[in-house]
Amino acid sequence: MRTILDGLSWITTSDNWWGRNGIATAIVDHLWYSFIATLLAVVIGLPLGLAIGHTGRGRFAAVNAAGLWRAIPTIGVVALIFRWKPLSVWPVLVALLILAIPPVMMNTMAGIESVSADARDAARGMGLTGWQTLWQVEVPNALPLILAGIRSAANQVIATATIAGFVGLGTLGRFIFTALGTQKYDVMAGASILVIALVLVVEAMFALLQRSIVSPGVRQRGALRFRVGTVPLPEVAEVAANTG
Amino acid sequence: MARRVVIIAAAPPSWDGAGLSGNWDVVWYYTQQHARYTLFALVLGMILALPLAFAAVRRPSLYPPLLVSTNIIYAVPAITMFIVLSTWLGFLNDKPIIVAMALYTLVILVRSLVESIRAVPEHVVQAAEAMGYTSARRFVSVELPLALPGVVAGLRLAAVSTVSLISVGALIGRGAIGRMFTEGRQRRITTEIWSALVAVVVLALVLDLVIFVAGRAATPWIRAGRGGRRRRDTLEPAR
Repeated sequence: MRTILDGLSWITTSDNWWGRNGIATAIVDHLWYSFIATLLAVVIGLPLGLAIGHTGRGRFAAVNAAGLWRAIPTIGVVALIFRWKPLSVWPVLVALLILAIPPVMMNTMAGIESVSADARDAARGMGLTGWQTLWQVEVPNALPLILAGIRSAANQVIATATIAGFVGLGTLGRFIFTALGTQKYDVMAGASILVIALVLVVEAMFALLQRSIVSPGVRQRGALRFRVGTVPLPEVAEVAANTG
Repeated sequence: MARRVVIIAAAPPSWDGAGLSGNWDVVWYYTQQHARYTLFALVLGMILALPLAFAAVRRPSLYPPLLVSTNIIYAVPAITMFIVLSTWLGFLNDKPIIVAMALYTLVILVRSLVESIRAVPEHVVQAAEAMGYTSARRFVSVELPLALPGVVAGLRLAAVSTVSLISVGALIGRGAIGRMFTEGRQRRITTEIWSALVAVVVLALVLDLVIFVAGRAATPWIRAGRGGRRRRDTLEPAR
């Protein structure tokens, strides 16, 4: 408890905020790495998820690959790529990207699959092409789950971006790693509180985003319910995960 | 006393040379340790998650704050978590990493437990109630078994992510296979890093498979029900 209070007083000391090694720079770096990694994960994961969800092809392979993919340890990727490209952002960026792809892809897939067969039949009956069905029917209906996937990816990435401190890069992780060596537990507590705060702020932003871009019709149906056993639950209830 | 001396003397095997041959003992030693940590963490996580899920199912108003709390726990950076738990459980043992991993699994386990139990058909629950089952007994002998497929799915995800996450423990010297990452980086042995990556993924695959098979063995009725009829398309959305 005392350490938490010490951490808060570290955060509230204005001298710690400014300068090249200040909190402000670290937060900007932290958010910047996280944003790039999440964006790339969406660029890669979203089309894959849409394709698999729409066609149903490659689903088995995707589900199993995603399971294995999740097992890849972030710190291992960082260590490996560091051997290759030391002193660059690549080790951290690639590790975060690997972390962020499965939630985006699997939730997009599950979202598209959750669209009711009736809606799909109706779209077909109205003469919509496959492409039109995807964009005008499936994506709008799947939007809550797609956003949940991106939100989950962003959460994991922000919580994990501290790993950058392991290879001496910026982000709030630098404070934590330095504090580990120098045993300055107030700094460690303070930086950790900031990481948690960032996760919560981004979480709230996604909640607002969801409210503003999901169609009211889809929203009013409330929380999408799935029967257990139809869509594997973890892919639907994808959760904030992984700290390292 | 003699036994204690042996334990202290048994230093972990260390990587020798640049190649993998001759270093299988290192990989095997850390893989066993890794598997042990994961199993303890999953069991402890389940023990913590069950009462929380029970409370959330019986009192739905508890569920949202519970989810937020598990999310916050998950957002705690791993190193901080280790240090906090170490000051409480001691620095020189395996308890901090196991407890940390168990706490991280809650975000998956609590959610999958609650969501799967909520999906148990209402009429089954009512039938149990009408038969005079107490709330706790209904939970254990009706709701939990019927929720098993979803729970197993959550457990698989928790197992895989725990296997992956334990590696971070290397930063405080307790990462099992993860120590091969930090060591490989310090000693510039790329093969050691590669081997560790593969070992983690293979271990995750094996554990995932074990839980999957155990889950199927524990839910024979799911396949039995499908026997005669055309197999239900697993992609069919819920009505």
